[in-house]
Amino acid sequence: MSIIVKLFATLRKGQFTESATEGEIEHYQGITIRQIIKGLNITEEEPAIIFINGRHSDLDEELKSGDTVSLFPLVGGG
Amino acid sequence: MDKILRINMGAEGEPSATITSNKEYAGLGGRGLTSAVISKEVTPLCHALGEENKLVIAPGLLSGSIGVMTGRLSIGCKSPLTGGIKESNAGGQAAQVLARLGYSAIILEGKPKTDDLYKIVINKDGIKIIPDNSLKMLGNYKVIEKVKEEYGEKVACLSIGQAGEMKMASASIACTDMELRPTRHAGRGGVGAVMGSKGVKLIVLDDKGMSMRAPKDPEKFKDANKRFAEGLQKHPVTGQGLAAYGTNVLTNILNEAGGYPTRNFKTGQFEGASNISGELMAEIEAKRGGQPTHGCHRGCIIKCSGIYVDKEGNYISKQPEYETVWAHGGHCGIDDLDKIAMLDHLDDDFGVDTIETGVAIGVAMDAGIIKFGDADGAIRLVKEIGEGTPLGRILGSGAGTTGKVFGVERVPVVKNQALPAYDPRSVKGIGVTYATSPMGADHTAGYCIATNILKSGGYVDPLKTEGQVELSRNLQVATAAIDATGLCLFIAFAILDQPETFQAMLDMLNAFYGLEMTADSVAELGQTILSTERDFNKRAGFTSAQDRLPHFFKVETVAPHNEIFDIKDEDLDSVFNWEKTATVN
Repeated sequence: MSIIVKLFATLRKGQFTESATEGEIEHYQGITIRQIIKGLNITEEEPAIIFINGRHSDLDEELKSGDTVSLFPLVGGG
Repeated sequence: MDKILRINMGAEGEPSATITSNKEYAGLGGRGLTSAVISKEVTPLCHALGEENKLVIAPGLLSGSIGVMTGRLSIGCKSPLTGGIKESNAGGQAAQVLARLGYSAIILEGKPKTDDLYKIVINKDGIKIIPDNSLKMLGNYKVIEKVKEEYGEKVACLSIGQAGEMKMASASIACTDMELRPTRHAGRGGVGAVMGSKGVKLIVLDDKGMSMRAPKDPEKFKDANKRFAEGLQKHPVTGQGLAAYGTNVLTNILNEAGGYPTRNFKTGQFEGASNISGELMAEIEAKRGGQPTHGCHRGCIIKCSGIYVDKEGNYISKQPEYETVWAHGGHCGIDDLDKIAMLDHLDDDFGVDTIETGVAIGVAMDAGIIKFGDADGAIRLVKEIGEGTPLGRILGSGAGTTGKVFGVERVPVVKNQALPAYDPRSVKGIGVTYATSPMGADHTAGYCIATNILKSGGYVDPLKTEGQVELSRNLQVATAAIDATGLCLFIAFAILDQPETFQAMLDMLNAFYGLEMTADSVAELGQTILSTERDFNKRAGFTSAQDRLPHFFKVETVAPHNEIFDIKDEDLDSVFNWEKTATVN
C-alpha cells in the first residue's frame, strides 16, 4: 500500500516527472510529510497549506497507508 | 472629489443634471457613500425598478490618487434581486477617472417618461445627456466599439447589455478595463437592471485635462504609498501567487479541501477539477499567446487577471475568475475551460452576473432542463438570456426564480442571491457570511476562506463551529471599511498578515485627508456601514429569518466530510453584536 502525494501551483514543477502532478510514495510505519518532501526537492517552508484526506494538517503528522496528501504554497484568491 | 452629480432621468421635458457639493455626505466614499445615500434617500419599500429607487455610483476615498490598488468602484441601489440594499463592487478604470473629474458620486434618479435610451457623457467641460436609440439591445462589446469610434480610446465607460435593458434581476453594469474592454463588472444584485430602469445605457467618462487628486500631505502620502506597495510585493499572495495563477488557483484547493460545490451542491469534490484549474489555465494562456498576468486598472500591482485566448490566439475573454469557473464549471458538471471562457464572454456581453447566471443554469440542470455537463447546452441557455426568450428571462431572473419556476428544492440562495463557490457545510465560516451579510450570499462580504482554508490572518478549522461567528464578524467589518476606500479587497491578504502594511494603509488615508484614524476607527467605520445597511433592510421588511442559509444545508450532509451546516441560529444573530437593539422578530 502507498500514499498519494498531490502537488499544486509552484510546488509542481517537474517533481515527479515532467508532466505528472501527483505520485505514489511507498508507505512505511511512522512516515511523515516532512520525510516525504525531503525526497521531493521542496523546502519545509514552501508547503504553507497541507491537507491529509481533505483536512488541514502539518509536516509532522504520521501518515497511514492509503492517505492522500495535498500540498500547496501560500496562495489566495476570491 | 467635492461634488455630487445628480441626474434626474424623469425630469419634465428631458433629463436634467444638477451638481451639488458633497457636504451632506462629506468624508464618505465607495460603499460608505452608496449605502448612506440609499439608506437616507430611498424608500425601503419602493419597487427596485421604480422612480423612487436611485443608482449611486461612487469611487472610493483614495480613488483617483497616485495610491496603488485604489481603482475600485461602488455601485449602490435597492436590489431588484434581494429587495434589500446593494453595494456591488467593480474594478476597471471608471473609479479613477470619475474621481479625477471631481465627483464623489453620480446619482441616477427618477424614471424616464418615454422609452428612449440615453448615454451620459462627462468630461472636464460638463455633462451631456444624449438620447441614443441606436444603442438599443446592443451587447456591451458592441456598445464599446461605438464608443471608440466616437470618443477614442482614452475614456472609461459604464454600460449595460441586453439584460440590463430587459431589467433582469441578474443584470450587471460593465466597467471597461485598461484596454477599453467591458470586462470588469459590478455583477451582483441586479444593479444593471436599475440602470436600465433609468433608461441609461452608457456613461462615458473622460478625464482629459484633469490631474491626479492631491493629498493633504503629499510627502506623507507618497511615503505611506511606497510602504504599502512594498508590503504588497513582499507578501507571497499579493506579490506572486495572484499574478501567477489568478483567483482560479482556488479550484484545486477548494476541491482538495472538499469544499467545492459540485452539480448544484450535491457533493464537495469534482472529478473534473484539474481540467479547469488555475494552474492549467495559466499554462494554456502562456502557450496560446494570451496573458496569465494582467491588471484590471492602472495602479494595480497585484495583477490577478489575465487574457484568455482560443487555440488560434484570438481573444475570448479576460481570464475568468474562480467563482465564474466554478459557477459555469463544477456547479454545472462542466470541465472545459474554452467553453467556460466563452460563457464568461457571453455573460460580459449580455451584461449578467457570472455567479447568478451559472448557479441558475445549474439549478435548471437539476430540474432536467439540460443535463449536467452539457457545455453547449449551457452556452445555448446563456444566449437565450441575451435574446430574452421566456426561458432566458427566467434564468436571467436568477437562481431563486429559476428554482421556483422549475420546482427545485435545492436552491442555493440567501436573500434570493446565489451562493458563490464555497460549500458552507465544509467551510463553515463562509456560511456565516453568506447567511448574515446584508448583501445576500456574497463571499467577498467577509471572506472567511482566507482563514478557514488559506491560513491567511490565522487559522480557524473550517469543519468546526467554534470561532466562525467571530471570524465572519471581523472580516465583514474590515471589508465594509476597505470597500469605502476604493482599495481592492485583495490587499487584505497582506494587511491581515503584516501589521506594518495595515499601518501603511492607515497612513495613506490619514495623509490624504489629514485625519488621525486608528485601527479602532477603521472598525467603527465598517460597523457603521454595516448597521446602516442592516437598518435599510429592516425597514424593507427583513427579519432574522432572512439571515439564514437554505434549509437543505442543515439537513443534507455533503461528501467527503459528511458535514451539515450546524452553526446555531442564535449564534448567527450575534454577528452584529455591537448593535444596541438586537433584531428580534
